Amino acid sequence: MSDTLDITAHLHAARRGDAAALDALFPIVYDELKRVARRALAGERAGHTLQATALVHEAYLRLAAQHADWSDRRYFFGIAAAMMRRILVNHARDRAADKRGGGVMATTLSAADAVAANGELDVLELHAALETLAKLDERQARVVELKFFGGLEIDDIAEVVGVSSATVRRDWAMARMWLGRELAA
Amino acid sequence: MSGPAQTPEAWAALQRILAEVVHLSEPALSARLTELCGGDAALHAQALGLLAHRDALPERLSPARIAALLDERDIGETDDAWLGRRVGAFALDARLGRGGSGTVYRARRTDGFEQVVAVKLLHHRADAALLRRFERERSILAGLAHPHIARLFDAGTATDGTPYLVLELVDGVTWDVWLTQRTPDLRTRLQRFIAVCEAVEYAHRRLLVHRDIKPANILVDATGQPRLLDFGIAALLGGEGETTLTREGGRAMTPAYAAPEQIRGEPVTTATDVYALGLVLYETLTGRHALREPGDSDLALMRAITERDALRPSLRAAAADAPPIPPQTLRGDLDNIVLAAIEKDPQRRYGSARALIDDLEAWLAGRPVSARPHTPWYLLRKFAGRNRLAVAVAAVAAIGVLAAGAIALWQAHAAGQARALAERRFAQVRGFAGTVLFDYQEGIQKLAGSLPMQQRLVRDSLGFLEGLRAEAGDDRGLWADLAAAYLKTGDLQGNPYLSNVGDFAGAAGSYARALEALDRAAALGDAGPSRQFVRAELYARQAHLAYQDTKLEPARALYEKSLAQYAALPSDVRDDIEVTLEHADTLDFYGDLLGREGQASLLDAEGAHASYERARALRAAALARSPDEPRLAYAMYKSELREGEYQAGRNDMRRAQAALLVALHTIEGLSAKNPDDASMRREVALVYARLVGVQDALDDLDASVASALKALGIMEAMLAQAPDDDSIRQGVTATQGWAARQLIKAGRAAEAAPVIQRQIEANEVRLRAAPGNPEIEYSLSLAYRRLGEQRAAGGDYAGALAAHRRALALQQPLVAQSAEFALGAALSTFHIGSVALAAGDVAAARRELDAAVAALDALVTASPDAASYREYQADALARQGDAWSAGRKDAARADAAYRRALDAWDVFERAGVLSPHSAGKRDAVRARLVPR
Repeated sequence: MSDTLDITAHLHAARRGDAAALDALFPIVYDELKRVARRALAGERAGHTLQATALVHEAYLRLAAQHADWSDRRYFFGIAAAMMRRILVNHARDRAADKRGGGVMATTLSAADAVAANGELDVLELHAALETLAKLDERQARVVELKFFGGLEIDDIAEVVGVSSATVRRDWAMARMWLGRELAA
Repeated sequence: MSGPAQTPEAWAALQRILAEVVHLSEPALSARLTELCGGDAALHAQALGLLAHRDALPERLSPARIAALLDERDIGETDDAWLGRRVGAFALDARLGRGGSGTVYRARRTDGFEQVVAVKLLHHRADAALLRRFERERSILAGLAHPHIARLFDAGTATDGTPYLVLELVDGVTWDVWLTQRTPDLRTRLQRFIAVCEAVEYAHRRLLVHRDIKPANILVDATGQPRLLDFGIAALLGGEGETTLTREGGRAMTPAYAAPEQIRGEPVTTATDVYALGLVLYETLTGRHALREPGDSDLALMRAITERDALRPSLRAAAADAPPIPPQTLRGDLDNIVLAAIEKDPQRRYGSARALIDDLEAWLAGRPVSARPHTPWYLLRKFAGRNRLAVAVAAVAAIGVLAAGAIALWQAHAAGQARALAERRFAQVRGFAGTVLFDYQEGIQKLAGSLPMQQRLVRDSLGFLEGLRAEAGDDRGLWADLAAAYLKTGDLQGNPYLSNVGDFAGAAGSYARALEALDRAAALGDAGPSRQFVRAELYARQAHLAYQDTKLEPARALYEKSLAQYAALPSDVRDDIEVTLEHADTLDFYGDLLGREGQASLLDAEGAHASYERARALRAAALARSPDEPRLAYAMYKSELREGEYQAGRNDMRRAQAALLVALHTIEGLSAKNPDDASMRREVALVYARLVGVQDALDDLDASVASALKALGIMEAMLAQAPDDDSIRQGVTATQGWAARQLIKAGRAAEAAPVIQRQIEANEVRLRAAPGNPEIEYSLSLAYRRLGEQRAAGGDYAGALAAHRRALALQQPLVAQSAEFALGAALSTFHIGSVALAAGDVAAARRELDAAVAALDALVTASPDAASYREYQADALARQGDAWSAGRKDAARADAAYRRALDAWDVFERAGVLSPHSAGKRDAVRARLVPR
């Protein structure tokens, strides 16, 4: 585990847009998200289901309690949403690679995989479409990342992005149509 | 690229238009859009293309996706350490995938043979118990050779103790991927699914249960053939093991495909696999899981599996954006088949994978299927006595002791003890066996939840009987005993009319053995009338199997052979109660075969009725001789009920009523003698419910009301005793609806009020247990409609309007889900308009009835073949004409409506299906029409 100093440095660097610093933070946030998800799934907390919103908020509370540097809530949400996206994209890539390996897949998948393979939206396709959208309107792509992957509410997104809630709502509606159209093609 | 807005500028420009219209709904949206695009057709098309997808992307990530976070990514390193290593005779070449229970590698033999296999390393610690199970089960599993089951070649533990399985390597994709990638047509889907069922059926005949059937466990190879994976693996991992997810208490299951009994921790049986097959079929037909809703947690899903009824597949498909199969194709038989496979109560499911296959094949061939819809009529039938479970548990334990004792003793005999001892023990064994096979087996078959015990009993009995056969030699008495024992064992294996374990091929084998044994006994000089009776029973059993296999001609020949044996019995034997009961049942079955609809070559309605009559005469004569025999009285009741249904079926309502009243008398007498028997009371309610329609058709409204109230009283009393039983409550709400309807119809609206109040309450109770369930919401709306009718009948128009509006408010959110709900909303609008007209509010009546007609027009356009829609359409048009005739008359509009109504009825007349009731309405409208 990295010490406090490192985290502080990475956080500052990442805030300046340093991709490597973001990578260094990845395992910390990832471990925390995973821990929270596991506890949710184990039913440790009554009424706590596996929802992105709950995961991100709880991970935030736990990390903020550990390190004062995490206490910028807006900033944490931004990282967490990007993390969620990255984890899921990596996971989907692994899955795709496993399937391609030799063209066979004779395994019993976990329940979660079975669900995901079952006609749900393809994370890799969404990821690619989001990257295209970012070229047309970067803020819209950001709003989608925060809302869809981070599970943030409109007002939280407005705070993170620094625009009005009405603008976020409009961005989401527009991006949702654009992505829907792109994914259906 | 056809995608719109390829540059930031173009996208920004397009957004200016979209932002103006995205929150509008039709028709405002189209109008505004046309205005904004100002004739730019390309822009207009782009905007429309985007607007079509405004809800396509889900609002948020699904929990299943997030569960991927839990995938152990860091296992990678240790996993890869396996590459190149040897496990048994195999070297691991490449990792193929990883799942909840283990990691799978491609591997090849290292001892000179050319063989490529899949090796699955289990994420499961090898404790002593697991190793013992491996030892015990692997030869059984390795013996599973079926074209649609991936073979298990071997199982063992690697040098470090990791347990592994050596499996056939299947080159293919999982079932769900196959469905989404290949989008096979309905027939292909069903044929491949049947192949999977056959694999399951094959294993069930070997008394092996899969326990973890799901789309991810079915691979479809390049030729399109499915292969079931991991048969017996769940069992191999042990009763308390982990297949994919471990719950509190360590139960193994994949929550999404677990049967209710698995979630409750009850014993897993072949019925559990039938349930999972049903879920897979549901998904195969609708593209959606039967019970999982987006955003459900595992816990919510498990609660849904145990508590909620799945929506009919056709409704679920209708609610989907792009259903793989058109909902109207699913409606009816396929709905019923799927729902019969996923019944919550294992006893009410298909008894076997074979029964499911039979119905699917019947459907594919256009033959009638056995699965019954959940009509109110059927719902009444569903109240089986449930309090018998405690008795079952006790009886099963007793049987276990007896069977084990019998086997042990027989083995002692076979092991060659001292001759005297052996003979004495052999006699004991025979006695034990007789007890087990005859007395207890008959008891056990009636008990719920005894299937695993029955399977055990079959397996043990067959082994035991094989041993006896080898010993029988010239002992003719023993051969005769063997015949009777094989008959009983066959019944337990697969007599379709008794509780059975679903092994019909096994049953056929046992019946054949029984006939052979009878022949041996006869050749040795033992061919008395009691043997002849066994022979008659055996032919009838063989006929059941042929009938169920839809081999109808052979079935008929076998029933006739059986009946000929009965006819040839000496009269004193024929009059024996046991013989009479079986004989009469065989006559009923023969009648069912002859009267079977949809089989023109065999159909002989008169012959069927004659056979029923003979059965009835036999039972009546026996009852006259033994008036206190309850089984005969119940058999008599069955004859009377059958007569009533036969007469109702041919529309002779007078005879139907007479027969049903006799049946009622009989069953009420029986129920009075057995006040604790819930199934008897259910039968009483059933006959009353049957009488409601018959007496209504006879225009005897008072009698019909009395019958409805009687049925209602019994049902509500049953509910009071089992207030948590949703299926009873569902039956109660249906009965309340009929009772209220008949009361209103009979002009006794005031009496209907409390019944309707209770109907509303019962539906609200159901809705609280399953919030948002559209079928219950709709059922509640129908209770409000009844309330509206009741208030209107009493002249309370304001109250009636409020009730119908309430119904409409419940129906409106459901309209998009199915035509049935849309029709409900249209009819509520029609009622609102009609009440307004009766109350003299002509303007409101015109407005509402115009809307009702428009809604019904849309429904008729969408489903031109649905006759009932056009009936309602004609009624609404006639009422619309009345509205435009009332007050300040608008003759043109009134006439137009009347003429359209007349046209609608004329269509019925030309098709030869105009009912007298509708003809009467048509005459009334003609009289109102202004002559031209």
